[in-house]
Amino acid sequence: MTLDLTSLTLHDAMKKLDARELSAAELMRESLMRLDATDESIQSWVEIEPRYAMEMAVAADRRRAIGPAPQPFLGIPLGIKDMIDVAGMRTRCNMESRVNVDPAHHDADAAAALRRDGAVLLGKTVTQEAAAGVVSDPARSPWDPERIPGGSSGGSAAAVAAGTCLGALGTDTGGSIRTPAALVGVVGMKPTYGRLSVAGIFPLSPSMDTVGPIARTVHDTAILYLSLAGQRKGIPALENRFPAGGGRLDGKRIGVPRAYFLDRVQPDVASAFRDAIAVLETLGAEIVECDWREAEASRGVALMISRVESAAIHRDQLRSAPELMGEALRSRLEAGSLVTGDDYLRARQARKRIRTTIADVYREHRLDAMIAPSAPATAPLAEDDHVVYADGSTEAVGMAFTRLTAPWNATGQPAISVPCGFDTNRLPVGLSFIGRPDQELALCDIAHAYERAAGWFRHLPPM
Amino acid sequence: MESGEVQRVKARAEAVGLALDDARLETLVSSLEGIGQMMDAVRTIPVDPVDLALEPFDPAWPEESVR
Repeated sequence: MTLDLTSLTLHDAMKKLDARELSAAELMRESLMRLDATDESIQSWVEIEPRYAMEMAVAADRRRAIGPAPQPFLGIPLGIKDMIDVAGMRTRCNMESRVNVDPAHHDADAAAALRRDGAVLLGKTVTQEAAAGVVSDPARSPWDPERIPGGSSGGSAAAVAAGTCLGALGTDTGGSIRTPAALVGVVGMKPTYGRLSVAGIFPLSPSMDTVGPIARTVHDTAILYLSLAGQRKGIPALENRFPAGGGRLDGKRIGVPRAYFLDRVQPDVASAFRDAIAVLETLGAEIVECDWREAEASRGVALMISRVESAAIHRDQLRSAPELMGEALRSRLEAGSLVTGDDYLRARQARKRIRTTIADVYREHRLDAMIAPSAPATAPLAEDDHVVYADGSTEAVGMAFTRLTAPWNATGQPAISVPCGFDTNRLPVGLSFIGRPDQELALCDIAHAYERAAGWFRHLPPM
Repeated sequence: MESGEVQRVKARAEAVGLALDDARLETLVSSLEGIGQMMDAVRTIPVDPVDLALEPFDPAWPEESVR
């Protein structure tokens, strides 16, 4: 049979495999062929295990031949960001100093959860060096291989968008799941800080590091999230919770914090955001204008904490072999090394206060979620150092593509990015929904209703 | 930035074991300006000076915790 992996969802594949309309071997073969055909230009994978993957797929088919699959992802290929341990594979973190590091002995908890649920961990996807940045070189966007996929989980997002796997894991400390998801037109969710184990993941900033799913649809993202949370039994119920036709949002109150989040965005992003609000209103949601005055401070808190903690984590190498680091990482760590303990503690103290301020905004306006653009601009060319705005002003790429995401890392709330349109160059734009702590599925309810009504998920990259 | 400030940054960098040539020192001074701006934003948040914030951050909102 002929499979179109760019439009096949994880949910579709699970159903087709269970109905024996598709074999895991066929799915894996198509995935590997797609990878062969696209990854020379996209470069989203660091390492794959094709022989192991095919063996696992064939074994999955044998298991299905004797009865219903005991695991939801039996034989389905998924990608794992190369910050996350997978037993038998190296965790290189895109760092020259780790090129020949010993293979991991054990799966990270997140990878183990997916494997326990039957997934075939096809390989490792490209990360920005040490997950500290938004470029993810050498990975590129499937929408335009001259452009970056965003980062730091750029390889995972590009691999999903290109149809080389049906879902992938990313990590998010300042926007590293949501930004690449937005730039390549897929869905990415940062769960509540502390909700999922990060054991076995190379740290960037332990006070803010999270792990989460990247997939083609909100439903797929929720499926992966439940697996990661150890709640496999809840997956079948998502079928009714996330109907393909979508649902209404009557009674839902969605906050729009214009100040800060819309102060400085490209016109096409602002236009897509306005259109998204119109869709949400059509669904019955009440749009509530609100003001969160601590947004900029929240971003400052996130960046200060991550600068200091990442400098501490890479302390020894920064002093013993800094020449093995890329310029962006080295500069960031050197600066983080000189932040005083007093300033670091001040940022930690401010973070607790900021949590109170955002809770107050949700409470005062009785919000179910907030929305904001996921990024102020669409994917820049790989050689661009700065984003240029309509007024001629510029902003460094690294700062621009964390400005709208990092505030939510400081608050620790769950946030999901969903495609919400295209710019005039036919590059994807992302919309973030930000929920209450520990309410990931409630957040997915709203994001799913929007996704189905807006329909942008149906648009696929040209390759 | 004043050359005196550059010298102070150089001294601080050396004190924590960073060896920097002039070009790297210039980059570092610029980065620290950016960090200073971030810290200015952080300082707009009033905090309790005796709260040392050493415990792990809990994102749950106290009245609404489902944990």
